[in-house]
Amino acid sequence: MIHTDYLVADADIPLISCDRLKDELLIYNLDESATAKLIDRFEMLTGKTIDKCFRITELSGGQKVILMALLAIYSPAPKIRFVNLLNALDPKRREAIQILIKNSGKDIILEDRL
Amino acid sequence: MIKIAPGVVSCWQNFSLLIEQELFFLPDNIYYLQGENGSGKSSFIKHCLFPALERKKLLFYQIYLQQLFQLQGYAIKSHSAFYKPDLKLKSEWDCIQYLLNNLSESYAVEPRPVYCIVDENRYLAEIYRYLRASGFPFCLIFCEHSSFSVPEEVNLINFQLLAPNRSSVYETSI
Repeated sequence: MIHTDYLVADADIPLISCDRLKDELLIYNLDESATAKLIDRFEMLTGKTIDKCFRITELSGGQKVILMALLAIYSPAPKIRFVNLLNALDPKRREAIQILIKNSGKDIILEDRL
Repeated sequence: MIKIAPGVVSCWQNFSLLIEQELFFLPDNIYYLQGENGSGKSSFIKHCLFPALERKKLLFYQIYLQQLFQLQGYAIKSHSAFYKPDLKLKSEWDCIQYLLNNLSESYAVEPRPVYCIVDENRYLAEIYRYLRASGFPFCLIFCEHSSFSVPEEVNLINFQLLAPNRSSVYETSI
């Protein structure tokens, strides 16, 4: 299957649902293995332990953006367009997310929009 | 002047801020809330600054631009659609200017110092320039992860994560 479109992940509106993590996982079509990776990586980046039933509204603004980035990276989408991603992150998280993007093997575009 | 007392502030069910010293927020000063993602900057604004400002709401004007501005933008567009339908606000900057112009109109009728709180907004530099050009006595309190510099001294309020559910807050100067 040839994917011509990009999954757009906009840091100005990082999360689509507004209740549990499992809703967001469903939207991004993450399987069990990808979900486990996401949960581990999120804890490494933020120190926060989450599970599928975690209320994502309890996250800070920056943590929501980190979660959005991980959802997109671990989703099956081969092409991702991140909008205004890095500005919302502190230097440590910015570097960690950039490394994840580089190592993802996906076609990823970082776009800054005013 | 806004004063925040030292002590432990419980912000959410599982997050608290340890305010190590009395914090003062004065007009004609700039305050940079600095800390990692999740260290409690926005929580400090909501649970410490807002209640303190509310207690003195007749003495100051307040303008607040929230993090992830999208929803606030819709609210501002709705307000303008009712009160100034010819304006047709489109962009984020249109919405911010609408608030700032509203502030200017109020200030012209009754001058009061302005407290402007900006929680990670890409138009921070423009907001600062607007306030500076307006001649208001203002206190700018902001959070930001990208570079923003101003010619005057900035008071630094540090947020240091002690644990995922607890941060300490203390002031230094740049």
